[in-house]
Amino acid sequence: MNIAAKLDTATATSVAKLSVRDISRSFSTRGKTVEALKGVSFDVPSGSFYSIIGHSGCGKSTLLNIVAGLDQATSGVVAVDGVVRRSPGPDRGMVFQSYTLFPWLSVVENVAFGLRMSGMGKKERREAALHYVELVKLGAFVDAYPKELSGGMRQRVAMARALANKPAVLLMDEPFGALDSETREQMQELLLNVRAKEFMTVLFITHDIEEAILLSETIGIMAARPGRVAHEFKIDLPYPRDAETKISDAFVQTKRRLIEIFKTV
Amino acid sequence: MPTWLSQIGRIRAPVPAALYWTVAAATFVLPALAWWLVANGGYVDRLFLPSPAEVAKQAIVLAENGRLWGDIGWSVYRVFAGFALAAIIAIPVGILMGTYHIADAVFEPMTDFIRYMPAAAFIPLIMLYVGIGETAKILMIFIGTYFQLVLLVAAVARTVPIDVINVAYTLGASRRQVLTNVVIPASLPGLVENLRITLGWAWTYVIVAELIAAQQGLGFRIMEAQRFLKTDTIFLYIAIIGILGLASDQIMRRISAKTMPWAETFHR
Repeated sequence: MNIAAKLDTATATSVAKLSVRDISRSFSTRGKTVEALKGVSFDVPSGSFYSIIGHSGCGKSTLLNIVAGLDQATSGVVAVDGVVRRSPGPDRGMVFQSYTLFPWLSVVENVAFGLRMSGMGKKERREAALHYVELVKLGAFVDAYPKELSGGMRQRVAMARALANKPAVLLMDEPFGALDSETREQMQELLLNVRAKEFMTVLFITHDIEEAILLSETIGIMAARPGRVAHEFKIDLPYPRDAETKISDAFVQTKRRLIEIFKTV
Repeated sequence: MPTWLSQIGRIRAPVPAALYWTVAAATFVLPALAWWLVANGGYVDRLFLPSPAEVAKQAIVLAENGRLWGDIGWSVYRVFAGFALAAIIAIPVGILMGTYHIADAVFEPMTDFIRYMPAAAFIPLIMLYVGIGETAKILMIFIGTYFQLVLLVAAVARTVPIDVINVAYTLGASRRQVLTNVVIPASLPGLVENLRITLGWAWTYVIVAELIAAQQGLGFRIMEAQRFLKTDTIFLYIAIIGILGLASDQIMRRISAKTMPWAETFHR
């Protein structure tokens, strides 16, 4: 397989920040081989927001773990800026569904963690981290410990922590999945807000169709057994978007069409 | 109905601090009262059950001639020497076991094998190899606590959520950085908690060690008192071991709360 050629054709049409090519992943359990993913390919252009939706168990989290380098594909490649990536690195920051803050570090120290790992000085990294703490509107909780924060606040810190590292691609694995619906809406608005201020490329996993439409430019719809991207769907809703967008006619029509497709996979 | 009353039956609900400490104090005061009544009522022979007053008198005598302090000093020294040695080795080995599967293969089955051997069964060998000096006692405490502690530390290291480890990788941490900056700090609260619990076992083994061969120490004095049927001294020393255990427990709790204000804790 000529990977380079494939990547070239992809980059010829648009600037792909993240390229996922022909990813397959099989697991062997009790002598049986299960194909979790088969031939998954898609591109995320620089500065865009790409969501993957699929029913639970379709392999979307496995896919994200492979992109992050936390799991290894049986075949296929992941490339960032045309460079193949196999192990985890700071170019692919991640926000998990579960709460993953470091409990022994304050909010600002959590956000500065990646900068500390890369050897940045104490004062410099605190200053850099503070910008992101403000960005997710937690300026009043700079020195609080995670145990003092609500679930939504923890996910905001997790987001700031990933962003502070200035990743080429931000990977988000159902980051609002564990939150109540009200907090979830606030988080979606916050994310839209953050995106308006910071240049970022996002690969987002969700099973919430509305969430995907509200946030994305492109939605990849995954089919299960084996997991693959069955359809790609462009969202043409204008920016700026907010909670109001969800009740616009265009949004409702988009949702209707998407649900039709979603039923067939 | 006052609100604190309805809290009592609720699973894990905290009760007011005043109530908590009143109940806790009562669990000491009431048995002491019962002891006092039974001992002074003349139901039991003084030889079997000395009265609280006799025990207190004995405490004053032994405190004044300095024997009590010497015994406490020696036992405390042995406990801390043996326990510190066990902890210094068990903490790194346990963290490696909980972090690297291969370290688990090296240490876990062997530890499980030795763990089931009663530490007291090693006494003859200890005496044969290192004699009956301080080394023997410290070794006894080490054998009694190390093999338990190392497994507990490994279990703690294993409970660090994999997502927390993974997120550190995606933030650019190297494997070594994940070990030192994530696995170790994440294990700290559980580690201190287990040290606190195993310290109690060290107290058990110091007495066992001193029963065999010693010239001073709490265990030795209990053995000596048995020979002269000094039940009051036995009562006194057993109570002192309890008090020392309780004190070291409280000290470790305080240290843990002071140094790790970020840790999730249960209400007290």
